[in-house]
Amino acid sequence: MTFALLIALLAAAQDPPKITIEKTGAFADLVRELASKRGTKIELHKDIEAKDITISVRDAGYFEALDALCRAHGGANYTEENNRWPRPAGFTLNAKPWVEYPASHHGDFKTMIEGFVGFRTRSVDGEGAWARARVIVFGPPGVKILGTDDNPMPVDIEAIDADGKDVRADAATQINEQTEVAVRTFRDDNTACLSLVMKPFDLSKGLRTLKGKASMTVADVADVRLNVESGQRAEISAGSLAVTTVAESRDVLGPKWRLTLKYEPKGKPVPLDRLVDFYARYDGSRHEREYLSPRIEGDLVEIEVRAPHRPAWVELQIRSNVRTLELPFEFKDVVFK
Amino acid sequence: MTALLILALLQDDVAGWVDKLANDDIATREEATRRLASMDPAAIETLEKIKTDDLEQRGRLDEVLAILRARRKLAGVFGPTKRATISARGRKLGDVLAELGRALDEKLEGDGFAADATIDLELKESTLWESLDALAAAAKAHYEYEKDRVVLRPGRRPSFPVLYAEQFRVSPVELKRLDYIGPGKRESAGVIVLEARYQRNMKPGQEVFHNAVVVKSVVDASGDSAAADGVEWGGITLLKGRPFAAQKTIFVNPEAPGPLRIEGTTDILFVLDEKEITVPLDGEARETKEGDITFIVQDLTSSPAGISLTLASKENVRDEDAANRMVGHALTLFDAAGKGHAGRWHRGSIGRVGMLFTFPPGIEKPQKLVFRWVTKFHRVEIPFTFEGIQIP
Repeated sequence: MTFALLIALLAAAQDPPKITIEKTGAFADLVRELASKRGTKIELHKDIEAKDITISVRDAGYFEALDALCRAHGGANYTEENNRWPRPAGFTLNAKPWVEYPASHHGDFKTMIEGFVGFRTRSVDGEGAWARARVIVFGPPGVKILGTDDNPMPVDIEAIDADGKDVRADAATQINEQTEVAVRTFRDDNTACLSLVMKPFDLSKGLRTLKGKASMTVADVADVRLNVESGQRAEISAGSLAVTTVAESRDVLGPKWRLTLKYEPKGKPVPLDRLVDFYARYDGSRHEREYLSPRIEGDLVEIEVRAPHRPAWVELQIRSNVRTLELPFEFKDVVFK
Repeated sequence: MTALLILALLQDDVAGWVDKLANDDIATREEATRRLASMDPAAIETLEKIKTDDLEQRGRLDEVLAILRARRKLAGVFGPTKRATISARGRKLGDVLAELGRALDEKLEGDGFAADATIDLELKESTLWESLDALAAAAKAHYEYEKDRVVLRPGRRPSFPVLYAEQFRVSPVELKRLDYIGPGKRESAGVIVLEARYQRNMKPGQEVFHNAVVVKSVVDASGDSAAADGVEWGGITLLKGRPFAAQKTIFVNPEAPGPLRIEGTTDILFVLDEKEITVPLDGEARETKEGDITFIVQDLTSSPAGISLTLASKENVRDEDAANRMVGHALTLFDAAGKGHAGRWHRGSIGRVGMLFTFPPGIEKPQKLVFRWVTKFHRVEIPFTFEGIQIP
């Protein structure tokens, strides 16, 4: 077997299988079918119109297929801006009109250009003018984009405006500002914003070409359920997590439970804040996922959950295979009307 | 006493500036306001007696008086303002920096100037900020007021209207225009950053910036409000911040006919008095009363990960400054051996829900909780008006 063939086979083994859906059916059923192909769950807002749609996608990635579903429906959307903190966990389709953004798909990932922003500023640091292209990266089910505040980074960027000029930022592109506004825009907790600085250009004419790579840290994720009883243990790829103590207390907001978990590593220990995503589901939670405000002391982590009764279980997202991914994207003739 | 007679009793130059408050030219009115506001506050009683039918002059006189009263209050709390007097013609820049630094009790350095660079500079009883701004203008330079020194570097930077008030300097520091385009959407926004800056060596010096710059109005050239809400495509707004400065960002309508006029006030809290509060933990009643507040420790739990507790109050705390009264959000837990262990604050402020603190594991028999609580703030309220503001 040649080396090239071996590499191709290994790569194919790591890529998830392509998706083919060619049928007419109830929108909710087709969404469920897509979600099941990736072992995930997609929530539908109750106001999304229940109707039949016809879809034809062949050998597509996850977001390509999801976009085809939403496009066919016309009244379901997941790309709405959401700048709340903490960012909402879980994946939900909202009852909003589908909006066609310039999109680039690579495997199950999607990048889209959300918009262009032009800046002109006069500050105590100097004067300046520049533009930004805000590129949103969507991570698929099972792969988590980590540390989204400073992740991803641009690599090998090409940016040509409608008049053929190279508008990549250079040493003369000075960002002189006291306040950062409109730099990044957010969606759910598995998206990242690549905010590309460029020389000023005519926003209404758009860009002839924008291509490059988004370099980011990602991890495979899997949900692990722990029963809330002292001594209960769950095996994970990096070792095990065990419940050591459960303490009940109460304050003006009602009852709460503090759980202490102990991590026993298998092989080289992974720092707990990289190993576990503390956006968790638990028995009795008010939301699909909640941030559990972890307190980490070495191999111990204490989390707090609020529920009307003692929760029977907690489900944490465990990360493995943390790696750097360079995600290519390419857009041609991007003009917003 | 008539206005004319009162003016006659003032020095001729002051009378001239009072007259110029009614000038047709904005720049002249602004300069007159600035000059009068920088006078000795001893002039307050005399200026208060001036009567005029000119609305613009009356408004500006009231503004000057408000500033002079604020300055008098500042001097009373923070002590006399450091001032500098220098007369330099063709003197070596290095020597002038050294002399000015001594006068202002600041470490003043030049970076990027020729060794034989010279400067012309005239200062007369100028405050720190007046002196630094004049120095930068004279040297065709800009300065950075850093944590432990002031550095002067070549190259002028854009200037903005400034209000000097004793140890403080209030000014817009950024004007920005944003144009956004997306699918079916094209919008613009204007952004203004206002800043209140203070000198480092004030006593008291601990600041708490809860909402340190308050904007009351932004008015365009037609007299209409130009204030705007933030924009939904704006993402998160983050201020860079500078040492010894409080900043505030406001959004304005970028299409409002300029120039704009901004009115507001600073609202900076400085700690005047604080005391140590102790909450016992070895009995049943884990509480201590201080004034109107009963501090209570709730939810004290110990686990292999350490100790966590909530410091709350029995009362609903209505004091809007309560969130800033715990000095440094610092809490110390003392064990039976008398050893103190620093806590880590996670969230919350004093009130019925309280503040969550955690401590490392291994603390034997916690006995008491100790923290410092501000009992008196001084509130620095300096009214300001800036005119001639143009969004790029």
